Amino acid sequence: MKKFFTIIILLLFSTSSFSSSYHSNGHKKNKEMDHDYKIGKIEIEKPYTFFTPNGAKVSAGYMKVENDSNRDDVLQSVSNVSFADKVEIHEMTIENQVMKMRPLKKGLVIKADSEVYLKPSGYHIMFIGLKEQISKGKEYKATLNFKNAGSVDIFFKAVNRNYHPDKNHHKHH
Amino acid sequence: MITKHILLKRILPSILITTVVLVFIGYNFANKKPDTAQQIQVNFNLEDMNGNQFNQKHLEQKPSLLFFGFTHCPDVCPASLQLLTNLIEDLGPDADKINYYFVTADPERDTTKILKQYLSSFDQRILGITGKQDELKKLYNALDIYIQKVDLGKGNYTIDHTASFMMINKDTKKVGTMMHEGFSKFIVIDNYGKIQTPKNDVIKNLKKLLKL
Repeated sequence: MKKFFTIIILLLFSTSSFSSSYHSNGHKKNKEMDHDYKIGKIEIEKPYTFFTPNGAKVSAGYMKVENDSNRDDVLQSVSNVSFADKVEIHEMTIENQVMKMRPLKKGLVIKADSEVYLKPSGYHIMFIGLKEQISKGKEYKATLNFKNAGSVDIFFKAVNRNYHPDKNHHKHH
Repeated sequence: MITKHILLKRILPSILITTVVLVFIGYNFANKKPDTAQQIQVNFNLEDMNGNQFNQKHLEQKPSLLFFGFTHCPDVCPASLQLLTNLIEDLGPDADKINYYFVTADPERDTTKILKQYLSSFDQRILGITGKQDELKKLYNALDIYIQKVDLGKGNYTIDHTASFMMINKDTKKVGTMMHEGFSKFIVIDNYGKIQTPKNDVIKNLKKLLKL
């Protein structure tokens, strides 16, 4: 009889822990979905930025920008960033094994009915003169200013370097 | 009838011999690639992040992997250092058979102290190297590293730089380069071009080229 109760208690415990882990996963998923933004016909998906190495003075932010409108739009600037002295929109290329990085002075064009990925080794939002280190569990606010769609506040989620937006908890193997 | 006889007896053997010789030459040409790797013999005098000297002698101790970058680089440098950290982990016990260097492309801003702080976020075996511009240039040139400071106005600048790892064997010969492909993978390029293996097995190629 004692054994029977132990089993019951164990079963109850395991189901409750199961449901709570399920709940936290569900919550995480919602949070992930909350991590997308919309302004007019522009959609911003999963903005993220990497934890910075110790003492780093710069970092980069990435995201996917989708333009559902039938006319081109331009991400003209990024403002309202409290964690860095300056923000720029950059293009990076690697040609003949040489890395080149340039500010896009006229902004980043997002053509009608298309999408642009800001991603490592491509376009990025560059944060210059970091006032604090980008660290785990934090989110970093910025305002994206589009020529047609207007301005939208977003939060860059801080992630580790092995993160990939399409594969959460992406490992390097 | 006579002409056929001459053809068989005289011309055919010479054709056969010529063919054999040509095939032999061709075979040798295809298999014996000339050794194009140049030995690095430079009298450079630099400093590592711990304040110790760094010169040619250090390259002769073990095979080396060198990356040239700067700490004010937001994307490719920290990404490369993270990939290198992952690679060192994957190499397991063999990792200690190689020396790893992060050589600054920006000696104006990257002091030994800054390099040490920055690199503390990655594998502890990666050694930061800095020094005088002229001394660094000797090493850049010896390894065909492109470094170009680009003025962005208002006192800001960035640096265009070769973003691949240089692979140097124990004889201080440059045996290849290693660079990103896609999001998080390395590829190995030897002196003849990209190495294609079924799985792009970086570790295998690295060990082969560095003769670990």
